[in-house]
Amino acid sequence: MPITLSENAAKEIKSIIKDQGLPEDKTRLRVGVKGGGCSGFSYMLDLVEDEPAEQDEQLESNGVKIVVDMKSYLYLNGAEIDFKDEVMGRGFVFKNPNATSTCGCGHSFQA
Amino acid sequence: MLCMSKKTEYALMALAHLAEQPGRVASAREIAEAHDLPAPLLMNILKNLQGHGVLRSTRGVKGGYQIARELDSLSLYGLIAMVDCQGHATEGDCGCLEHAHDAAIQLTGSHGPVQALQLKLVRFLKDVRVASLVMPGRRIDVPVERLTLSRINN
Repeated sequence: MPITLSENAAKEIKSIIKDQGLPEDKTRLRVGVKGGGCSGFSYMLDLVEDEPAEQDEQLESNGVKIVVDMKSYLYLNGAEIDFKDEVMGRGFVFKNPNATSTCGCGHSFQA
Repeated sequence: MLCMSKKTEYALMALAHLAEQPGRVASAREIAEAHDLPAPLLMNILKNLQGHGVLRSTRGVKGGYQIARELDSLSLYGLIAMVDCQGHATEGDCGCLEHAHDAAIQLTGSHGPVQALQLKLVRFLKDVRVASLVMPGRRIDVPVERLTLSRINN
């Protein structure tokens, strides 16, 4: 299953790309996980202009190009990324079916 | 810099652990080991949350703590008041947000802008629901600032 962006998340990513003056055709959303945080892994999002590496998975969701490194893809397969703008802040929410445990700080998970 | 106390952070981590699966029961030791938290302090925090009706405990081999109330009805302000104000002999001497609110109301002679800021912070903490910080799929995993800042730093 691919990684998907909700309409709201895609809209926000496009808006950040525009606000920061990034080239729309070249900019990709790099999604990943890295070791760290109290539950083992934490989520990463970044906007990159570099060409994807050979081993990267390349996807597209709601008009946003996504790249994921192979290792992260194992942990993010089937995840949906949503965007929320609430009283406590604005940011991206991962609905990850591979996460078996997450932590209170919200920055890390176990799989 | 404004920040949450360790006790509030540990309380949120414990609630997130319990909220991971509906009806989950976990001992203080299990939660402490899963998140590398100091067990004695966590036990104290969980006992306190039980006293306030946020958690219920069951005895026995498979016993432990579980969530006893809707976390949508609990504000971050309420949680901070529960875990941080515990054990203070007199109200107002701990400097915590709960009592800071009372102090801000009472100190009519205090500097207006500071009092206004204090009350605004309290209102914000009252608006944040604990459920939106601990329930999977409801909390913010990557704040938008982290995405924009990573570009500025690169």
